[in-house]
Amino acid sequence: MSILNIKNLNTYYGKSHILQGVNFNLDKPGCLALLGRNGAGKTTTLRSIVNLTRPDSGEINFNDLNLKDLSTYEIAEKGLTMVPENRGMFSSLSVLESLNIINNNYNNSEWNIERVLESFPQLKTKLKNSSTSLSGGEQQMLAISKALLTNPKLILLDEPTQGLAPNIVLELIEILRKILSEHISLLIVEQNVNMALEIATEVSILGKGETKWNGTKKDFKKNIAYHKEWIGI
Amino acid sequence: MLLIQFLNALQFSMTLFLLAVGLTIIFGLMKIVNLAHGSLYMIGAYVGLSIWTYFDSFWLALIFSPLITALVGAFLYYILFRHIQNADPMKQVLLTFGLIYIGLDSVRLIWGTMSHSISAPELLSKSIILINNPYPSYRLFVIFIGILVLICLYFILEKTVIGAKVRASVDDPEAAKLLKINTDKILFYTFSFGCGLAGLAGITVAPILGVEPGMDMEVLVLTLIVVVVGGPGSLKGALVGALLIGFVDSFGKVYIPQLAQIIIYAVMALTLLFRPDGLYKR
Repeated sequence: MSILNIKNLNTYYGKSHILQGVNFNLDKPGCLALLGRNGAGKTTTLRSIVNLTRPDSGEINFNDLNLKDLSTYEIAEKGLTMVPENRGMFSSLSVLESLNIINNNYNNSEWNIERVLESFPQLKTKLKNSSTSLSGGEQQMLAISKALLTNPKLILLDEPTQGLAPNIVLELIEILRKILSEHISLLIVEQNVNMALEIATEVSILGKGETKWNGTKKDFKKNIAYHKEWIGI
Repeated sequence: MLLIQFLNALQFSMTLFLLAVGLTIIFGLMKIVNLAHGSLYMIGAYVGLSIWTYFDSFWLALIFSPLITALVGAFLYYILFRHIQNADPMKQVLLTFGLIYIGLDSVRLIWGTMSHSISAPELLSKSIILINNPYPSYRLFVIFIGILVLICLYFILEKTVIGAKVRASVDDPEAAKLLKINTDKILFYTFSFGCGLAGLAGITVAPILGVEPGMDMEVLVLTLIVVVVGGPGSLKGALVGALLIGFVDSFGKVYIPQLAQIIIYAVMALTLLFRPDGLYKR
């Protein structure tokens, strides 16, 4: 059973044809890094998967379930969520409220507020604070906490290290490793290729809205020079 | 005298608040400026008029006309508004502007072109003496309703999980959807609720201002000014904007009647000059 399988995804923004054939596959639980230059269509790919931007054609299968015609919140209910690039902070909600609004009162849920706060102790002291008053790193931790509370099987992360200090990036890598060890899969979009390669098992390269290359991290590393054209390193 | 002016201004502000709060929530959630919001206010007043006429009870009208207006809102949401979300603003304006005419003609068709009056209920028909001045107790009741709605809204929005979900959906609808929140359902209920509040405003002012075709346009302009001054999408802004416009308008008419026509526009212009996003930017 594959976690996420994307076939020939095409998406338009108005009249511009942004995604012109995206294909990749995450076979078993793990982390796929989606790499590419600015404007290659990485964010649009993530948005299309969770139907924040409606794809025009193509197939998206999540745990062998076709996501066609499911709305974003239904997709989230199936266990696929995203941490958006802007981190999706709710400016009028406190940290605690931001966690409380996520339906999570099932007894069998693996993640609940207590457990999330154990994993992110820095949020514990700021529960009453407005979520937009947090530092960049703390906001990213809160965003990941919220995603975990939906009890996902796959989290899409859009530029999670953007604007974070190097030591916070290291902390984030540790957190993402921990999440992966819980059998939650990740699809990560990153400008910071080295960071993405720290945790990824699979790599997919996107250029001008098309998939240019798919493979394992090992194969990718063997031939980095060849990929330079498309990822701009 | 000052006390009487103050209470009149407060009553007017509370009516504006009931209207503006619905409009601003709808704008915050859907990014739609519903120009037909005044029509729902008028419908609330007319439905109240019918209930009052047939059942001879103001209280029944007070309870059922907001409910019926909310149902009208729900119907409009279902057949129209959900389709124009994220549409070109020009389309939204044309559609909701068209609804104003449909509303006006429907009202003329059903209730005629005459103006009507509703009398305040027996219990509230007398004036009470406040520091040697008689003051109609019904107006105090309208103030009371406004404050009651304000407290209930505050409680629901700030202290309950449902309220937090509504605020989250206003702040960032996409992020809310990603957290399993069905924002469409929240939209539907909030839209209907906002329309119900417009209906409540309509029935509560009916004994003061009467019921007539065209009452919608008068309040629409004022409500839009309140929302713009307060900051579109902001609840606090709706309250502060309603108080500001309500007081400036009421006191302006008494103390500088020569400027009565333009003073609230001047307030709006000044606000936008210094705070282009309104007093409370979201």
